[in-house]
Amino acid sequence: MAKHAELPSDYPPPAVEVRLIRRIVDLRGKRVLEIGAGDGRLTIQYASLASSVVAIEPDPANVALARESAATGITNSSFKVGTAERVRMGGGAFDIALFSWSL
Amino acid sequence: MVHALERTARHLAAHGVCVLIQPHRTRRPFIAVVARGRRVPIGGLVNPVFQPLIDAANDAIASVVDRGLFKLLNRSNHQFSVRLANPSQLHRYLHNGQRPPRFPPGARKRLMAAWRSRPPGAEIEVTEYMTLIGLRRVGA
Repeated sequence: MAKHAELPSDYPPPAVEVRLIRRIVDLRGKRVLEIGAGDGRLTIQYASLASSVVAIEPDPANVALARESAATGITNSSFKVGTAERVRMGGGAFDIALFSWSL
Repeated sequence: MVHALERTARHLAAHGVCVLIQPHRTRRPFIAVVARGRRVPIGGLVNPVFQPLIDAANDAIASVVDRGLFKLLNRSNHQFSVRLANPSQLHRYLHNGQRPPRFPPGARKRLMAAWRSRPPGAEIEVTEYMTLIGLRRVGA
């Protein structure tokens, strides 16, 4: 197998983003709203720290991928199809909002 | 983009925090050929298609801060690098996204010249730049 058989991601290496986010805010025990979660790549890296995560993403195919990724071991996260502009949730429901490459 | 931030503010608890990971405002991917401690810089790429969206996102963030919806907590710049085996992989890597960057005039030629004269084990290094922004919701 060639050394570079799989193309590297153009996102930061795993754990880098979570480490940088934690420099700004403590994720532990917090209610997190992630906007533009894509395939859940980042969500599954930090979800275990948070008390709960609602991850929204406009592409249903990505939401399906995220749900599949989270199915093994992530129990506090829900993935919904939607956008920040249209998502319906209670006011003031979250401690942290996260846009990861999505604004 | 402003609307997305405004709606997000409504969903945040009083003094909740919004964290944004964004492409760096001006720095696009930088290409170098690297091998055994040697690094031949080729140059930065350009992305005239993506740049207006990056500018609009930054303007939206500035707007919600200026209007007192959020207070700026933190802004920091970071970089990370990936190594690619050859120019073909670089092409695939750069075309991962919907708005791929492109080489400025002369840069592709410099890359290919550096690649032709590469030492054994050479790789192509792409350095990516990003900005982390922390905003605290103001009021309730």
